[in-house]
Amino acid sequence: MPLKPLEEGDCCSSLAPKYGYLDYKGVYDAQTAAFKLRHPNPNQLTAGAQFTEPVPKEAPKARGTDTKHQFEVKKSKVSLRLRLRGWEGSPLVVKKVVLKPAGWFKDKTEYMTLPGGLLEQKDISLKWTEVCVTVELSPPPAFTHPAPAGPPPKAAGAMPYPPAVSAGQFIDTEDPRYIGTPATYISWDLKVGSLPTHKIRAGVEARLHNLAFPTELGLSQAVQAFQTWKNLKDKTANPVTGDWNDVAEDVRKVHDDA
Amino acid sequence: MLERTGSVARTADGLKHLNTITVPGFGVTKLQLVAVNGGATSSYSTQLKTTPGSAAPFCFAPGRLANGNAIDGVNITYTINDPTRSARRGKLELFVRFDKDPVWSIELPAKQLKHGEHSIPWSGYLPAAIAADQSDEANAKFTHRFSGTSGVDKKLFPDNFITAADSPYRLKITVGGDVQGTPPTAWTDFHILLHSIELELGPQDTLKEQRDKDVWTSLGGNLPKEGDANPTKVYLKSNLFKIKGEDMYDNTLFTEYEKLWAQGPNIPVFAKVWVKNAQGQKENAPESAVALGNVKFLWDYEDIAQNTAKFKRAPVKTFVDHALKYYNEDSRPKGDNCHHDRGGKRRDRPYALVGSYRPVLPEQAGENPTAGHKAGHFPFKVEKCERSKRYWSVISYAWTHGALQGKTGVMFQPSRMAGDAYRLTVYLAYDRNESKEPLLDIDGPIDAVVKAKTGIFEIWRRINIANYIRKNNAISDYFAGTAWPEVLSWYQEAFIDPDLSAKTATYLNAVNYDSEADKALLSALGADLYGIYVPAGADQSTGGTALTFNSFSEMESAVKDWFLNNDPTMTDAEATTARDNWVARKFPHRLGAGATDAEKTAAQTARYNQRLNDIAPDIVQAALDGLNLLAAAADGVSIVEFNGLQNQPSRSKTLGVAIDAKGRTRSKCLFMGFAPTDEVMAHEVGHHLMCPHAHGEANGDGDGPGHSPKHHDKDDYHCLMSYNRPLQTFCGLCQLRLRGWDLDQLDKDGAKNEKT
Repeated sequence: MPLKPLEEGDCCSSLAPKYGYLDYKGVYDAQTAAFKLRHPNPNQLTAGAQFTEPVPKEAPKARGTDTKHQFEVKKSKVSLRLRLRGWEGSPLVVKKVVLKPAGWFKDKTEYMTLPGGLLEQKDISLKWTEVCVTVELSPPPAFTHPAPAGPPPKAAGAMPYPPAVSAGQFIDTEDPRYIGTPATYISWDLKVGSLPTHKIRAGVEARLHNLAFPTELGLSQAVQAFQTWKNLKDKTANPVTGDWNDVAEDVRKVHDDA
Repeated sequence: MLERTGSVARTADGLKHLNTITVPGFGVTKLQLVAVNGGATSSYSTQLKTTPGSAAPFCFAPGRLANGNAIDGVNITYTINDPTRSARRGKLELFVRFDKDPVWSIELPAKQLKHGEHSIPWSGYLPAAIAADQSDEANAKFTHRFSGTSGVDKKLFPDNFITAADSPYRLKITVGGDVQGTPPTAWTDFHILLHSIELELGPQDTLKEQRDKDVWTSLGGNLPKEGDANPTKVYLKSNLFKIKGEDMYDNTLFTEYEKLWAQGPNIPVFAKVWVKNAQGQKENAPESAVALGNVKFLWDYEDIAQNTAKFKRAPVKTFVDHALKYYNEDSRPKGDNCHHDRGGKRRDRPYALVGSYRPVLPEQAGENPTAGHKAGHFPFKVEKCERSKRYWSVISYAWTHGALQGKTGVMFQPSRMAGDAYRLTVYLAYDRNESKEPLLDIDGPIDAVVKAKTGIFEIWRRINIANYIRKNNAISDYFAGTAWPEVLSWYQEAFIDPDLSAKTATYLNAVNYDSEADKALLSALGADLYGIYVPAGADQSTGGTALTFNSFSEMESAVKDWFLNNDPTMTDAEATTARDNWVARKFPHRLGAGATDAEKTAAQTARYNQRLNDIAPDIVQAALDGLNLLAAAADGVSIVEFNGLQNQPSRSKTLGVAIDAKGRTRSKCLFMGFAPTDEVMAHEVGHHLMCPHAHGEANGDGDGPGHSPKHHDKDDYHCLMSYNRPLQTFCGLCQLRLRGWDLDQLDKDGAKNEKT
């Protein structure tokens, strides 16, 4: 069967209708064992990978000509499942989420996240290749400065030692430019269907990026950060290698698993 | 708006995978100080919560030992919760109260901001840089070390170490990023504390004047202790005596004492200050004195009320009580020491702390510890408090290094006035207001936990009994008898303590005395009378009396011999008649015609003996002047004692004379005693101390010759300086003068000396 390089955004679900399949299974079944080993998830393929084109499936249905017939095609349904998390790993407490497919102005939708920070858009159009998710967070508690200092205690009788320190005596403040602004609104531009398999470097990198580990510092730095985080989370002391191969499966679990 | 990108997968029916997208962020969750020894911990806070540390307020002793190790090291520990490595910058800052700007700050490089636990050993030094030391990535544990020369303001931290001056402190970590951390800061408040203060007498080499060194010596190397039952006497050597009789009748005593002691003695009072370590104990390492940089020590004194119940006589107590009640409530500190108006130092708030203001705790420029201490200089800087507040107190600063490391002190300068009493207290002036002024600097009662008190200093005048010269060894030692303790007690009532310790006890040189007495007799009497009054070939050095004269009958014989010798033609009978006429003319019996010959002879004998008694003192003084005893005498009172003035029994006896001897100076005098009683010794030495005669009874009985009303309590009829026996103690006005008070500011009417 002919091979074809996969394009950005391709996955078995998006390719199935092109070949007349109702869902991803027929397409995925057509792939080689090696392909499947490298891409265990049919919705997580790799742009550029050699894809075996399945035999187009056309199933003629014989019906009489002078009669109206109604054909029902059960095509595959796909959904977009996002889990929003805070940096500490806990579900994100949000006030509002807006999901907007690129160019699909009418499809702007507001959501409330489900328990666990889950956001699920069922039966999305396969034409959705980019979406924008905008989250409005509950603002962090305002940085409260101590109350103004009251009059100093009078020196009658023995003053306590060490001196009693009232909250208002320390008047240090924070420079907002230094500490940064609170993350009240966050917007993600997401490429739908573009998450590569975790079996490759790009898949690990993309997941780490989604998980907010610092890929901009280089993959090794991001992997180290992930390893450190996981050690502390699991109370283990595994080596911090910075090698993406060492974390691929763990990254997948953290990112993909419910 | 924080903008992120991502790649996500679709999820086909039947599949379960999802896409986790995470908001980047970070937080700093801990900043704590942990003591290396003992493990005490500080409490710490973030915006979200406060985590308690050890029960006691956290403190430690800053400083490094000679080997570079921390004296009482602590670890600055902090935890960065930044799994996504979103922190972009961070800094450690040190704050003090009432100041929004940090007093020290250091940026934390990336390695010091990694997700995990960080620890920085700290000696309290405030460095300029920080470097990574050890890194355990697997366990996310990192150790760093401070490095580099401090860039901290030397005015705040003279030794580049944190000090107790501005304690408590807030150490704060702030971490910044593209978004605000949750939380972005953590802080811990901690203390640099002092454990205790111990007072000690400062070294003698801080003093310039010998008189002050003598005071120092008299203290025996110690300060009075707080718990002492009795005050410690501060002896001001003040051998001040009349040079001429007029000195007793004016205010010379005050002016001369003022010249001698001016603003009073200087007594170096030092305080050894101990820093508290993290175990709450006294830190023994001397290097911990770096914690004392800029620390203020407030020195205060109390004016100890005088106990006038000790006076032996009621009029004295009444007079002194009146004088002590003089603007007591207006002065600071309140008390009854001699008032400024009367030459003392107690006073109300002055217009300025210069000019006529006489501080008990004067300012000191101090010395630079680096250059070390120079003899004759006071080492510590001492500043006055605010004139509008506790103007009588001062603030001192400690040496943080050098020979006097860990010490501070003041030069205590009490008034010169005997009887004044003080107690010194040094407080750690640890707390302050927003203007950085010590809270203790107020016009009112104060107290503080870290302090040390002396016992009571009581000012005394000290006069010396320099020489005690007896005519010969037949004369018993006056000071071993019962009279001297009585004399002593009278002077001590006036806060004068005669000192016998340097007394030299000798005898007159027999040959010289005989010679000088003979010369004096010949000079005073002339050759004819000398031959009549003085036994032929008499040795004046023998016997106990100062002079030896002929008895009346011997004198008569000598007169007859004189006539016979001067007129060879005169018969014995004629000579007898001439003698009788001469004696009758010279020593008339003044009896009526009925008097018997025996009665007449007795009357003439008494008149002769009294005559001898009258002329003898000047002759003895002339003899002693001839010996010039004061030339080689030490300062003080020299006493020459005889067992009587002359050998013939007179009706009235002269027991002593405060003579204006040859060689006298303001600091040397001579007293001739002729078997003096306690009254006579005290009275005559009183003259030398410039006390004139006092009045006796209101009717004039017992008035001392030439008594001076203005020098004595008008209502006291038994002043020691009167002739109104029994003589008892000095009157109140004498006592105040002897203490050094200004006569011109005192009234003989005691009630008029009281002012409120």
